[in-house]
Amino acid sequence: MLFQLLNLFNWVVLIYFFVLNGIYLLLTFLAYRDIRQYTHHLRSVNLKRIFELGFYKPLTVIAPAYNEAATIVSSVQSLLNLQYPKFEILVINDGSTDQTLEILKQEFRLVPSHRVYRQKLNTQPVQAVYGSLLYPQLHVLDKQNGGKADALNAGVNFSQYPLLCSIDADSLIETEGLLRVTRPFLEDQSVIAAGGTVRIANGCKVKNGRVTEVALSKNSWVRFQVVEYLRAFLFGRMGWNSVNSVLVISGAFGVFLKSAVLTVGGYRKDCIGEDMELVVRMHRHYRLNKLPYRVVFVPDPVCWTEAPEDSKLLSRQRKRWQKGLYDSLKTNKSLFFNPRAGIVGLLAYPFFFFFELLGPVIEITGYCVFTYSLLMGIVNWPFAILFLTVAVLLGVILSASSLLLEELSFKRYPKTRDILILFLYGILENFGYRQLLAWWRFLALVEYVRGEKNWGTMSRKGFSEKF
Amino acid sequence: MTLYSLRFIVFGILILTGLIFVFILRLRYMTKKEKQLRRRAYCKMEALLLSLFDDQIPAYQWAVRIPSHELVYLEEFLLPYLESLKGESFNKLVAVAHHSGLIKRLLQEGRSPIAWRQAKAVYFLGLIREPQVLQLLEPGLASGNMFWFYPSVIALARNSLRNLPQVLDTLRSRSDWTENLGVSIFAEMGEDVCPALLAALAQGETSSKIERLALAVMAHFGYQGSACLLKETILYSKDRELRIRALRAWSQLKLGYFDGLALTLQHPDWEIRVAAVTALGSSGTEDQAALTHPLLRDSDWWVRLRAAETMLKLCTREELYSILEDPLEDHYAQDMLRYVLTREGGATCAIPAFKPL
Repeated sequence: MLFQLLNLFNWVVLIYFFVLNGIYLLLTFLAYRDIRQYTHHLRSVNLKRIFELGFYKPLTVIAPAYNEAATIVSSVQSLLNLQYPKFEILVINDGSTDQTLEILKQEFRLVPSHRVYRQKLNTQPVQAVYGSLLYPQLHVLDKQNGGKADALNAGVNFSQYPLLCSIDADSLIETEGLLRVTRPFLEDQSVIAAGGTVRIANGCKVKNGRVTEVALSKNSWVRFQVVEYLRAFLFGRMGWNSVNSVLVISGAFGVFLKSAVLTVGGYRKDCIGEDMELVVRMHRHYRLNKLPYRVVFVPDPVCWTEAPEDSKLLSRQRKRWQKGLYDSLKTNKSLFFNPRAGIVGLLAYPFFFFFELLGPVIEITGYCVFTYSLLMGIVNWPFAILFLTVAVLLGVILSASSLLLEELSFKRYPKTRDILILFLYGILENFGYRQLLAWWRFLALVEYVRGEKNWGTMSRKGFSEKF
Repeated sequence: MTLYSLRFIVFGILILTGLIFVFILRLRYMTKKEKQLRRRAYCKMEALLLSLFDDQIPAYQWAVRIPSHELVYLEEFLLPYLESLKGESFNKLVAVAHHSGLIKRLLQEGRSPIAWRQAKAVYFLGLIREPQVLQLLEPGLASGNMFWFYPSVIALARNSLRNLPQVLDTLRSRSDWTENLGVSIFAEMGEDVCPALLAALAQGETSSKIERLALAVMAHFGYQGSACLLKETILYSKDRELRIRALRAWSQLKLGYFDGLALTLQHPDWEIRVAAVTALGSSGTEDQAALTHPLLRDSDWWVRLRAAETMLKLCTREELYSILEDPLEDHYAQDMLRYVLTREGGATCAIPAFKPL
């Protein structure tokens, strides 16, 4: 009986594994096709020239900051360096207990501003509004602590332009990033959200809030994450983009149509992954009400972010992401296999549920069953070794494909050595790193089910200090 | 059976991974080679460009001196020069484009089923005022993609002033364009478009958005001939948007004060008051400063802000300080004036502190 059960489980895992990798390979193919098209298209448009002629939609950049004293100046400087014809920057100080506000006041000569704050979405009280004497486009909102979603909602309330760009205060957007990420809004009037690529800045040279030289970090944790990010953004999101099913627009760099954000009621404060939740809710609202819309992923506008450099911080980050995923899927469960929601309900949502959310459960159970079988001496060795080899090689092929996509498109890593190192890490990650991630994600699910929904804190070293 | 399949899969993946790896290295090599080729082509073209401008070589020699595999870079090489040059140099570059076969190639691309290729060809051909481009514009003018619509309408506008009715028809038929975009389209037609627009308005324009755009275009070119029309609109138009646009145009043209402005300052609509006080700021003199003072006590924040900015232009600092020190002055008026003075002078500016009654 037990043997039959184990056998059944093996078959389930085998089918699960091949379906998952089949979808990944399909996404890679779709991403390859779209990136080729996109890079050709990109060459045809002189963005700067067109935007100079008043051909743009004004935009508000919202940067929530909570205890970001270490990075806030370089982040705001990076935002001030952005090339965009008409934009304003709103830094939301979400009740920081460190020197964030004082540093901002001093560095950018902030004075109390008279601009009116209109409460369209409910938020914690705003204590003061500041304007900069040095940069008229810079405003700072000082509010009581209410979390990132609350801070973003305060930014939505205070913004005056039709497009909103949410970024993390510890991220650096490339100079032309905004021009590129807002392009879909001009190409298609039905676009309600667009997200750019997030890359890891550890190891890069940063000057005046700008990444001046791209290079790989020497830290192994970071190198593994670089491969992961390339995979997630270049084939994951690009692939889903081709079927209008992008469920995640990273909170580190996303642009939304303000009217669409207000229509769905802004960011949810009780959610851990407010960025993903908002996008899934937008899909739900527009799909179920049969309204025309598009959520777009744009591969070339890049936002650089600081990645965790040790296992402790990394585990905290991944647990948070997994809990966020659970939250987003749970609050929008009406999409699950809902034919009215089209491909989002029938394919994207179930994929995220079965493979992203439950993936760690299957993986960890698989390792346990394997260990048990090993102890009982019932392992079919030739099969086990071959299966493991296939699993590793498929992982390698997916990493290699994302490197290929990177080479075909944007070539951000100029040294061939860096690409070779990333290739090597694409192989190495299958021996320990992947299992560790699965374990953290599994723990996150356990914690979530037990009702532990806390965010955890992330300490930052700051770009100027570190790189 | 399963083992056999897995072995087969392992073998396949290994080969595929190897191929991807080789492909990446090959791509790197090709990119490097392409960069070198591009650099070489650009160097040659830059040298030829100088000879062309110095009349050392005629335009038809260009195609002879640049090998065909380097001519593929000609379009992107010429584009920034065509965008920035005018007169004889521009004409010489257009001749180069003709003699090198570029125009023929772009006309073919303009019929391509791929939108971005069409848009790219139309943009280039529009830039050089190629008459044949008019046959390619129809899909672009109807497209919802602004990156396709924009080059098409610009090409139409640049081609000839005679196309003004078609440009107006195109803009009238859709609502997804902004005033900035409209102005940039008409800016391509040159200053002569102003009297033509004035004539079009005199014949009776049905679209209020086009009327506002026409006023903006005339203001953009600093066309003084629009003064009568602006006065009439400021005083008598029933369309509030148009009235506001006329006041803004008056302000941009710096046409000087007229009594109608004083009347508009008391208009019940706050946006019209904002536009009127701004116009007074750019066209008034010290004599009109007194007209602005009551608006500093206006119930609307924006009116108070613009009134304070206008007073900053029209009054002396002493006069402004006396308002700040007047204990009977409205608190909101003083507050706004203090704000504008702080912003103007920076944090170091010495401004009398507010003394509560």
